[in-house]
Amino acid sequence: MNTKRVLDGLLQNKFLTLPAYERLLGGLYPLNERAWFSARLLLAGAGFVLAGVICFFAANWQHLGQVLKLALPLAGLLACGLGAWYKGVQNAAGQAFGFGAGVFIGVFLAVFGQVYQTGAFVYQLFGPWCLLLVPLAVLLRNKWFWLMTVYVGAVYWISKNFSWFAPSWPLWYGVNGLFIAAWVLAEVFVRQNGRVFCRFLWVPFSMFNLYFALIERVYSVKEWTFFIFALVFAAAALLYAWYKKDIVLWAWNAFMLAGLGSLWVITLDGVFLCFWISTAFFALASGAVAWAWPRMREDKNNE
Amino acid sequence: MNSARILQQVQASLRPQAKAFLQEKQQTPELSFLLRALLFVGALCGAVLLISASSLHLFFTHSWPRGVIFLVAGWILLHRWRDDGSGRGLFLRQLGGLLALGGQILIGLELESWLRYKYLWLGITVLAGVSYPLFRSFFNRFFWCALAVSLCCYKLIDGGDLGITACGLIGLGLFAAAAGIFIKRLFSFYLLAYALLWGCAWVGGMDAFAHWQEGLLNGVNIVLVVLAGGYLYKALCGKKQRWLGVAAGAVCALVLNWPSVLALAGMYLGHRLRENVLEWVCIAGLAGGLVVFYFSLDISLTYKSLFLIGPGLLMLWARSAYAK
Repeated sequence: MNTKRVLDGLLQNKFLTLPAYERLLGGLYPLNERAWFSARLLLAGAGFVLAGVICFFAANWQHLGQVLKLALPLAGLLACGLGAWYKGVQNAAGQAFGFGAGVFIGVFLAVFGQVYQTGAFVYQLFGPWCLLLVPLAVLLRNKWFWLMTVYVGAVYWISKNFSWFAPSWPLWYGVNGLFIAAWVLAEVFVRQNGRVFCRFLWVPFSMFNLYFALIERVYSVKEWTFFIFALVFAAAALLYAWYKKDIVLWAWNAFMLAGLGSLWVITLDGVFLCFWISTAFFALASGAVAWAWPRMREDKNNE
Repeated sequence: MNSARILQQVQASLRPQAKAFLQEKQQTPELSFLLRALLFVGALCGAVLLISASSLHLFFTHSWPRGVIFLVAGWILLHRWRDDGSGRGLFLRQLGGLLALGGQILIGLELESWLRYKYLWLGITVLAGVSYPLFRSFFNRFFWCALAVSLCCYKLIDGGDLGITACGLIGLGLFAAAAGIFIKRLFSFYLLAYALLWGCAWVGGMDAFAHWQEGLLNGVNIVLVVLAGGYLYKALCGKKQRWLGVAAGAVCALVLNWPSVLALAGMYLGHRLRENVLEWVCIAGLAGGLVVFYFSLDISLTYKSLFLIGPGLLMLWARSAYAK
């Protein structure tokens, strides 16, 4: 129950006077001007300085020497490493320094590739970056860092095998394998905020399969393989969401099925029929969410 | 906070009703924002489907019969269902609100041919005034109010021909009206207040593209000077946190333009009133104002970077001194 909204309702229905409302609100959410100003000044100041530094290097990048170009991300990496060592990796600040170190590794690799022209392909940056992130992820033991590592790994594999309008089996196996493995490990190991974490894995995973279904059905060979896989994944996840009483996962997959249904229709009869039927599919998906939510809540309460 | 503490503040004669109200609220579960958004997508698809499908029927050669039907259907759905936390009620209310909005647009399109273009602002304002109490839906209320405010402001500033100070004063007037609604806690008019803030941002945007390209200080006008001066006066005369007032005033004078100053004031107002939505809306407005301001600055990227780093360091210094 959102207490602020309850108080708003009481004032709106004239059960409370405005002074009484302000008193209750003051008790509920005490004003802390110092903390409010401090947080905003810190965020705004850091944002301004960071934006200024980025602008400065963007303006002068061509004129910087190679040593300076390489030294800057290394200095950042060193500073983050020292910060993490000084604060300790179990500490929130130490973890933040660890994240910074992870980002600076990527920046250094990008600059190194640019200075020495190590390769013509973008994916060559993401491969070593992912490998260097793994020991850091083991050290930090932070699930969000692991997520970043999985994302970098996925970007490497996608950019290595990607081709517009032509589904590739190594790409499909690699990305699905990576995300399914990460999903299973997350289900086993991630306890705190596990459901929220798993959504960050599920959303790119299902979007990838939707894209493959799209290029197969609309642009490419018009076979059924990737489309049926995507359909099966979405349907299985829908059942899993029902079992776990996860309404967000349920809603996401209901909309995913509506999207896949629309893809199926568009290849059957073109745009005109697709407009009508896909709109109906999305309305049905929304209705399914409205239908499922009270039932899931009731089941959860009974447990 | 427990119910007993809340009920203590309620008049004795109203306590039983207030208690029943609280119990009802406690039993009603809340839907998450994501779920609400997904239900909105479904309601939007449903409304589009129904309104588009109705155009296929030969009976509806004109827009107005369809408009009337959807208006009535939307009104019934809005008044028949309530957001009881089941999802179904919210879905049908959203569908009702969108159908009513579609109905009004269909009727409006028919009326537009009767109404001469130069009186469009008046017609939309009247429509917003009539439909506001009749259709208690977010889309309906915000859409018409924002449209009416935009058209009225466009009329008032004469398509951008009015001077920078006049634009600032119109923005300040709109902001003051919105702030009055928030301070008085007139919850029924909150959507009007957000529409006024939208109007304020709209005037700021027009002002930016009409005037700010001309030079560095054109974003800074009389409204900024008045607000920064008022704040400085309060900080200096209050003898508390004097240096903070000076630092804040210097930062305002260096980096802000009037829409950003108003957005900053709105942020603080949102914090004081514990209105998170207002605070976030103003944060977005502030970010937008700053981006437009720096984008329109006619100086080299190197100077722009120094112009960003300087205020940034000043803010970090102010924060470190303030935290002591």
